[in-house]
Amino acid sequence: MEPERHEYKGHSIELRAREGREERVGAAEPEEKLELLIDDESVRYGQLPDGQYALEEYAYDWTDNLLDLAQRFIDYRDRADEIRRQADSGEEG
Amino acid sequence: MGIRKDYRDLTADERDRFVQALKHVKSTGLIDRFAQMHAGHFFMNIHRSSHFLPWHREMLRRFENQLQDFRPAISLPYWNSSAVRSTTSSLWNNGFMGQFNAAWNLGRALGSSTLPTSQLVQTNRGRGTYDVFWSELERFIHNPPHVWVGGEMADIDSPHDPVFYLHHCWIDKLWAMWQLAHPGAPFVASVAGAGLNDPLMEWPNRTPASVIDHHALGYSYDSEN
Repeated sequence: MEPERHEYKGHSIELRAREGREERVGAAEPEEKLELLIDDESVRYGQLPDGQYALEEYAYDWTDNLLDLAQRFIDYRDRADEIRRQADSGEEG
Repeated sequence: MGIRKDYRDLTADERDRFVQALKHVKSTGLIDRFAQMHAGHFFMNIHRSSHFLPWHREMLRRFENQLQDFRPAISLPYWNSSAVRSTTSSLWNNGFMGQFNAAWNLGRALGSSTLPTSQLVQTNRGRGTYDVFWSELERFIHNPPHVWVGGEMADIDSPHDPVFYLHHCWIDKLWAMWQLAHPGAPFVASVAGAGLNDPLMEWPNRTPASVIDHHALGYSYDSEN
């Protein structure tokens, strides 16, 4: 497939065919063999028994749309970073 | 029989014993082994599956047994996240769960999501069939606290954070209460291989039938109705 690239709140999200896919395709291989990149960094994910996606670093929000999940992860990460920044500044102050 | 209770009802001695036992099982490598085991099975039959509740019940039982090997009087406490919702609650005091954030490098970001409401919990308790009950419980009551705590707790290896056990103890309590309120409700398999007598991931000699009666496993909850 052609790589799919989106911008979201200042971050890039890319979905592309995973390199070396042909060698790995086998009978037991799940069909989720797109590579997800956020800001050009690969993000690991998997599929639950009902086919929904979850990210390894953001494992408790599930959807059947990988792009939507990437956007939710970005929102979570930004929110968590802000909370940690506030906590750190509170400890310093 | 051990009685699992709300962490807010622990005596100071019980709280200290529990914290010391957690530090002990961290030093033995158990915390990290259980986290890796959970991560290894995350996308298999332990989530989004009718085995979600039995698998975690077995995991908690095994973890609690290890704590009891260190201090026999210990029972897992629970965190009712529909009632204890503040980032400044006593759960997060440095004398209790708070100390582990820096010490174990957990990267928590308390408040990263929205916790389940007591109304949602009440509605879920009224569901009449197991398949509707567990599915709603897992997604809308179990998932949000993982994200709300953030950091390791939001990862597939979330048992790195000891609050995982307090959270799952509450989820197990909700299941126990639902079972007692719906004694005739059969176990409904979500897919083939996830039935009452199918083996649990990691422990092939254990099935949901092995853990269906929590009293037979040697524990009860402070309130079960």
